[in-house]
Amino acid sequence: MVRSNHVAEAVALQARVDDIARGAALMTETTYKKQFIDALADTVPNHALETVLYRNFEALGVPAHTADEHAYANALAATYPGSDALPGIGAGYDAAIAETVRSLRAAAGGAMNDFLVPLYQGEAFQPGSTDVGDVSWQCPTGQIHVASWPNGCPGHSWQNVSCDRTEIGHKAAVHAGKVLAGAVIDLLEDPALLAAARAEFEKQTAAGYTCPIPPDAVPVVPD
Amino acid sequence: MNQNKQAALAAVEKKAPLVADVADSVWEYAELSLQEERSCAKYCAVLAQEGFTVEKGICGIPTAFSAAYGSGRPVIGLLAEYDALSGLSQKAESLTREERIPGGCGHGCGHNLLGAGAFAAALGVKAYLEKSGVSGTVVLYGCPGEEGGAAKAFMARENLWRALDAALTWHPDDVNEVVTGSSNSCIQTQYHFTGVAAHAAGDPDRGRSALDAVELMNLGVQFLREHMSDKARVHYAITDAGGRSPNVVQPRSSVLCIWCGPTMWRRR
Ligand SMILES: [Zn+2]
Repeated sequence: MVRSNHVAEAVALQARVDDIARGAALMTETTYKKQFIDALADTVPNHALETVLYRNFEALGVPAHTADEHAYANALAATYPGSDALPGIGAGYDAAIAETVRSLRAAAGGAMNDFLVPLYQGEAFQPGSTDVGDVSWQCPTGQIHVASWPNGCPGHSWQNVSCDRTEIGHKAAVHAGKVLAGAVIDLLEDPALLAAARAEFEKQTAAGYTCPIPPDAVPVVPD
Repeated sequence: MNQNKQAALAAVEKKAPLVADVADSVWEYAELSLQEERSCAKYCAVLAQEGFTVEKGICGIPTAFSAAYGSGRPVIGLLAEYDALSGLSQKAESLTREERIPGGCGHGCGHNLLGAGAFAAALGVKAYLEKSGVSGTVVLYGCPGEEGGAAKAFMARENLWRALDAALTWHPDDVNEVVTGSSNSCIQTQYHFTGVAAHAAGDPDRGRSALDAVELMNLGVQFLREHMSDKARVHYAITDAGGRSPNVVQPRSSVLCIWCGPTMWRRR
């Protein structure tokens, strides 16, 4: 599949909002200045790298938690709504994976999802945006998630902050390090893996990358 | 799993206390996007100690860095982030909302862990390269300003990532999985309006309200939403509403707009 260049479309939408700003200034007899803050591209997935990551994740398993850690995670999960949501990207798109995740969650029995979601490589979309997207337009890029919070823990929440300095968090970081290191080692040992990742990347990004950052822009500290 | 790989993963486990220390330090620093001086300095110091060749301030971004080990191809990148979020100061291991520092920042997206995990991976790959003598270079990239600033996109403008054979990273989440699929493309722009201040009761005819302009702009964008691709989004925040005094015609006001999408896939 060749991905279309979405950055160009976002630029066109921005031009329409510029007109609205001009109109608002005209109506109020004020002036305005436009200041570019930042911009980022959508993410290009790479199934070849995903497979390498999954093989390592499977071999290494998932972080194990103590009774105390489980007790904390369960209690933290009681402080927000949605702690019974079905986790994982694949579960949102694939009925069989959703079923598997449901039973894995039931077996786990607590708020920590101490299991690995089966590999899913269908179409998927992650709400939100990340500048990892721009990396993924310039070289084959792969990513994993490691359970660092209890199930359904809302993003950008105090619960995240609280949990990010616990043994649960430390274990997640170390485990992520192992899975990523394992995958890098496989890539170093088997040139065919990198060749496959590269071939897939070239095909996916044939539309070309438009860097959404204007040539004269400098990084801006957000207000 | 071969011996060299096994030894490399054991090396990561051995470094667990150092990884936790880095994660906790960055958690405490809790620095906002592109202001991550202490977090960046911590990484640069620890990586130099661990035998990496460290370069601070790459691509003209003061709190970005690269830390390389090994030689020749392939070159594999690992991506670290370490910025925090405003208004999220919070005590650790707590079960209630309690600020650690009143009005302070906090790691509400787990980037203290994200960076530490990527760092751990770099240590593992270094251990492998040392032991195996295999050709290859691992580079840990310190990528500031993920929450705001889009440093990796600025780095992409310099074509930094084109030199890599592959890049890997992770993000803390509530689940263990390999990530697939796409995300939004986004552009963030701030509109600063300037009017004329005047006493709102005494001289309103002499004032021109920048706050009115921002309100009208938001209203205009609201009407635009019906007439754009339903895969696109425009979000906004009024970052400056003028002042706190209703008896002043607000001479300045700003609105921050974010355009997102359109995207290929929609979640069912
Ligand atoms: Zn994040």
